[in-house]
Amino acid sequence: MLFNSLEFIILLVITFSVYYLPLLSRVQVPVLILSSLCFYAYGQPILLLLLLFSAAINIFTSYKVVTGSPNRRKFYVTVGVVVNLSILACFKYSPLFAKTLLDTSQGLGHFLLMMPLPIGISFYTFEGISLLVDVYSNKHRDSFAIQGPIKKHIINTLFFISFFPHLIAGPILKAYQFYPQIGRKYFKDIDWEYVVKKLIMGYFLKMVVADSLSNLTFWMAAPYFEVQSSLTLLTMLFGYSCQIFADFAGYSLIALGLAAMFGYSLMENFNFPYISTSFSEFWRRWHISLSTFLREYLYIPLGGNRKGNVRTYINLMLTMVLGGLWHGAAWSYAVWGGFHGGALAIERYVQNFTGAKKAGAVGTFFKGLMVFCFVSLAWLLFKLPFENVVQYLRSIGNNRHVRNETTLILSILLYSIPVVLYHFNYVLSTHWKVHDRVKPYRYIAYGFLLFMILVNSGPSGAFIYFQF
Amino acid sequence: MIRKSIITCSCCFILYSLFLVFFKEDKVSGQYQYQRNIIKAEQYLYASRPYRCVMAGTSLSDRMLGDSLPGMYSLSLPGLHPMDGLCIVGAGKYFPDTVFIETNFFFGPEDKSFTGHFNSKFKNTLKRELPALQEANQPVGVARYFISYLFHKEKKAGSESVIKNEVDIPQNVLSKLIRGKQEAYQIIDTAAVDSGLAVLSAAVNGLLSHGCKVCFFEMPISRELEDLPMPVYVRQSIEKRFDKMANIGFIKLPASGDYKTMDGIHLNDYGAREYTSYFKRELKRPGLFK
Repeated sequence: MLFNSLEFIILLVITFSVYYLPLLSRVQVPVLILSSLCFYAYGQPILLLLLLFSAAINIFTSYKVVTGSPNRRKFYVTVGVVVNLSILACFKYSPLFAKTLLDTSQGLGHFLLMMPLPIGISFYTFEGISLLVDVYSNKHRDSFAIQGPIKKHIINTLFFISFFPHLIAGPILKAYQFYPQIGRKYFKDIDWEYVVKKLIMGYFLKMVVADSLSNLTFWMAAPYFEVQSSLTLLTMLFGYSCQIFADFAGYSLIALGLAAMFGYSLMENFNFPYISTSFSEFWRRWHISLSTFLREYLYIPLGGNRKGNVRTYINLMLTMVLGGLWHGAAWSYAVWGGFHGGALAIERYVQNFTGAKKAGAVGTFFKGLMVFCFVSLAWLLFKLPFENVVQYLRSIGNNRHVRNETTLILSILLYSIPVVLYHFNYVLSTHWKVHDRVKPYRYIAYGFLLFMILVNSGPSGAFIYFQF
Repeated sequence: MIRKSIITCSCCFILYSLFLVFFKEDKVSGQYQYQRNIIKAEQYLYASRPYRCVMAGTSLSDRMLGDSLPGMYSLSLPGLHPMDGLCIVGAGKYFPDTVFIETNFFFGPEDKSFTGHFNSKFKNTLKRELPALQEANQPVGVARYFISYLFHKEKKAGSESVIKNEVDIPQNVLSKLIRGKQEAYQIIDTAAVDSGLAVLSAAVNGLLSHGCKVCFFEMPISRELEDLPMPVYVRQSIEKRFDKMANIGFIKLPASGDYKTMDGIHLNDYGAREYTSYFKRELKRPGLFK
């Protein structure tokens, strides 16, 4: 179910109305669970069983980790993590395994290739792992502990995994951040200004910017790109970079706004990533819930930067390659992860070698530009199969004398302006004090964005991150 | 803040609606293909008077020069199928006198995500009464038009050939495309054609019952593809099903045409001009309809 579909709006209105009914205040969480399961089952009802199975495993093993015999804790956490990863491997990576190693035209290879990809599987399995590791490590015992009867644990965990705003495309919740919030919520506590701002900005980025750009960057597909000029190809790449940001950041903002309507606070997933002046900064600003997950649950357990430089570089590469593969079952995602891992390792090496020097304004600008260009170039691996990426780059080099598609270029640039302004506004707000005086008039901007949602939305399309 | 935002939004909407009263530029084309299709459908559905002749087709017949066919409204929708155009005709308030149906890819299914745009009567009424909500009037499209106009890239008024820019496809890519299609057209997808034919028959019978005449036409494609098993099967299936029916006409492929295409199936500008002239001549042919 899409956040911008009529079905979703109906579900939301019903859920919201029932949720805050004083008569039903004791069953607020079950109401959200029921609504979330309807939300998930709408597209692929049969795959709801998998979600419930995954939740059941996490409920059982996490409860056993806490309440079982102390010397069996490691066993239960291992079982839980292995089952979670097996589900992910089975449903997400079977086609990759089949394509790489088996004959996909028949038999087992064909069966594995045809395996359905349950929507949001990467997100909810990671959340399950987060729950298990958090209860096992007991690091957050002050803020988060599983207590009370199993019934409560079942409800809370099912809610944690299935809460619809984050269910299919994040932000990836961490158990220790979410569980302490579970409790009774009151209508009067809703911060409507926050909700409206998030929803307007989110829907604008998704419906106006991303959905329109998706139709304009359609021509990046093979073999269409082969006949486009170098400038058109570069503009489309720039447009795709803006599209993927608008699509995913838009989704995350909507998720934050929706969760806040029900009294829950999810972590910010994007923090103006395209102003980053280094790759490490980019990963602190882009898909923050994933990058912090990878850091906390993979990079640091691997040793992080505590075991010498060479091991740090290896850990970075490994984390990013696995992070890349998390996005999709194709080797191009692994290459994408490797690209970022390599960039982070090189950056770290250079910093170790030269020391941290503060660049001036011009230097900072060019560093930011360079990071943006490399990041955008790497998005090609998201958009196209690996062999087409090479061909696309070749076409950029070869098609210098082909006629430019001026109308396409102009449309892409016009739809990319909001993404540029979104980041530029942030830079201004942090560096320019006069900006504070404009703040009281922000309603004009939000009113205009609302107007644009009404009159300039693109055709509704699925969120890019749904496929992950 | 919320109330002020809503007031600002309403003001923007009113001001923009007023602007549209004065700005009546019908050369603002869509920004991308899918939107151009929606605009075509909206302009057909929200027109103040009915169209007498309508063409339903794909990107193949969309290559024809509309301004050379006065009185003909084109619902040739790139990326979609003739059935989508016929659904739009069915959703209109009036039925045209004659409907021309492209046959090359008639068997494609209706795209419900596209035709679904026009299912809601409430939404249609709203869009008809409030032009600011119509796809053709999107602010970004209007802005793009003005910028293009400033730089003289998009002529204010002119032939459609200016808008339908031809893509220069290198010979090696063209050969690759034709080879791919040659392979695909060797296989006859009887199931798709037969089920498509049943759906088309129902639609055609519906049109005939409303007093419309129906004319089938086949767009020329590359000579290397024209007589391959699949196109031949499609051609024969249509003729067999509709040949004997009253108020049905056929515009067959020109006997002596070697039309040049951009990619094997879409006519290039020269080919499109040539075929449009042929099509016009055929329209005047006595005995077009039985």
